[in-house]
Amino acid sequence: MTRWLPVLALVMIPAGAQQQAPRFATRTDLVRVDVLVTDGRRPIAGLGAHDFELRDNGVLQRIDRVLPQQTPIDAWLVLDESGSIKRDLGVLVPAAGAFVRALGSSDRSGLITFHHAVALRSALTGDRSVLPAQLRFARAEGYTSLRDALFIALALRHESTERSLILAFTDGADTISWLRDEQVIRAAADSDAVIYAITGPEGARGESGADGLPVSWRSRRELLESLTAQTGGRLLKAGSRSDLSAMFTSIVEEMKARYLLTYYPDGVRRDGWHRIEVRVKGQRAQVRARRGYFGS
Amino acid sequence: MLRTLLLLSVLAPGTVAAGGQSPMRDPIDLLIEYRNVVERYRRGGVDGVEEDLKEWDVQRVNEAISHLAVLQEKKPILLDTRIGRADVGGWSMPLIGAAALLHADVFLHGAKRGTPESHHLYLATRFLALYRGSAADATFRVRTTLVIAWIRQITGQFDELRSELLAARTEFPADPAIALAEGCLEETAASPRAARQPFIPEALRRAAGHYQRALSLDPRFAEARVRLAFVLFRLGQVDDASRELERAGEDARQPRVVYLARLFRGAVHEHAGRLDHAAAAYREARAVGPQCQVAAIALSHALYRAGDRTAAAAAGVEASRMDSHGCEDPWWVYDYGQAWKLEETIEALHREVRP
Repeated sequence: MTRWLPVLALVMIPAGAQQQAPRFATRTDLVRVDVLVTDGRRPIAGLGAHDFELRDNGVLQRIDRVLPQQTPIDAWLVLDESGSIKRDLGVLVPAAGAFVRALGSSDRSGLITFHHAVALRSALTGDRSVLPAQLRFARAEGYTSLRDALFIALALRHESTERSLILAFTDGADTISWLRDEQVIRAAADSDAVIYAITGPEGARGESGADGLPVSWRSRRELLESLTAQTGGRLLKAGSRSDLSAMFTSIVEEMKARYLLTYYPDGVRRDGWHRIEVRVKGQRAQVRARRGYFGS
Repeated sequence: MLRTLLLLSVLAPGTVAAGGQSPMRDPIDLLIEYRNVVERYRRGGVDGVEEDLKEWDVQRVNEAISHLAVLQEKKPILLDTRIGRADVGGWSMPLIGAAALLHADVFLHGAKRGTPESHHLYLATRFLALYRGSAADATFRVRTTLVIAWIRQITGQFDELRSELLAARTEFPADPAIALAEGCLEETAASPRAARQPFIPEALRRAAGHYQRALSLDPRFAEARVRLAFVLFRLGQVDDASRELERAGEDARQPRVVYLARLFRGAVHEHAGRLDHAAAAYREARAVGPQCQVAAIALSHALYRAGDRTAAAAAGVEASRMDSHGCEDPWWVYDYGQAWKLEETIEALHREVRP
């Protein structure tokens, strides 16, 4: 029945609406919202479209589909290989191995590393051996171009139609990127990718880059908080280097426990920022989802 | 170069290395011995003297410098010569200049190996302070001053750099390169790499002032104009930035300056929402530096913003598949001012001190 509703909505648009501001009316305007629902600690399973309430700029929307958990994921690892992670390099290879092993059989993974340069070390692949093998070439030297690397991952997201996870690990503040915070945050807002980030165990000590100079722009933590909150992901801090494998795995597990909601925006202006609000009806649940999107 | 800069930049702000106690030497003997070291450097470069210098702890060299300083204070005529005098151990003003260069050169060589020794920078400045008088070459002095300034810029010794550049400006008020170095210092102080704030407007305004002064001294100084444009852009004076970039386009010849000018022009267009023009500017930057990654990333971003996600992804793939060793992107070393000229300047100065 729900498949007919969008078509029906087209037919039943009142003539007067044509004088209003342009509204979504084409089927290319599908919005995807990757949602994590928990009871505060654990993901809640088994929800369907009728369990969710989604609003676009305050207007209740008809959810087109709720794709179940375990929908294929394209997962990008974005790893810092600047001088600041020298101490962490030894644990990144097994952590990357744990990351790919946690993925499902239909999932793919890709690897982007960065120091002053951003390097696409592996395109998305289903071959589990590639990422750990590629990471062995990392050298831990140079400056940190975190923003540029995250943007590249967001740009590459559009090569895929599956759900997108971007997991970034960094232990230093950005010292050299061309792109600014607000540009990357805007790019993330323009994407349906979910960004998770992990900072290293010594990251909180100071904001120094590889060169020892104090850095800012915005603090690294603020940038990652903005990006993860914007996209419905999470920012975590590793307590110790030995935590990394478990943290990488837990993020994949959490991503697999998410729902993918889709809808065709209705009753809202086409352009500008669209604030998305998602809640679960009838029960106390915590919902994490992207904050919104820019209409075109 | 980038690797050298990386090694230099992890050096903690210089402190004079502790030296062992050496017995008091006859001043002239000391000066003769050290003169011999410097002469070997003049003839053979750093490779010829690094082993010799291991015999010279900081205290010994300082002692030699102190003797020269006393001579200069009490009997400047003895040192202000082009030919060394026996009664001052054979020292002359060219030799003093060579000694300053020696220590800067040794510092840089150490940095390339990953073992920079900061006391050499200290000794370089001490020798440079003695290099004055009628037998001293002003151009040599300026260029050696700049070599030390660029090293300090890389290693973040901003306080020392500020006071040395101020002294240099007082001594050489008409030198545009000194003005540019002061501008670079302020611009770096305002950069993400050094600032505690997103940017410091006051530092950027000071940077703009120095760049404008450099341009008043040399209106065709393209690098100063490009840097001025970027500073104005960051200060929100976008139209002024645009005008400066247009003028810079007429004078810029060096590929790295042309690259930066086009990159910044792209940023100005992007800021104004002229995404097609921005993409065109980034493509022009890429034409100058086809293996330079930053322009490619910038292009990807402009395409992304324009909604062409397919082209943005393709540009992103191309950018991230570039060999980072294929091009030292000028943006990566932008905060180090003109330090990209360090090696070539030292080589040129060494050719001048060769007997």
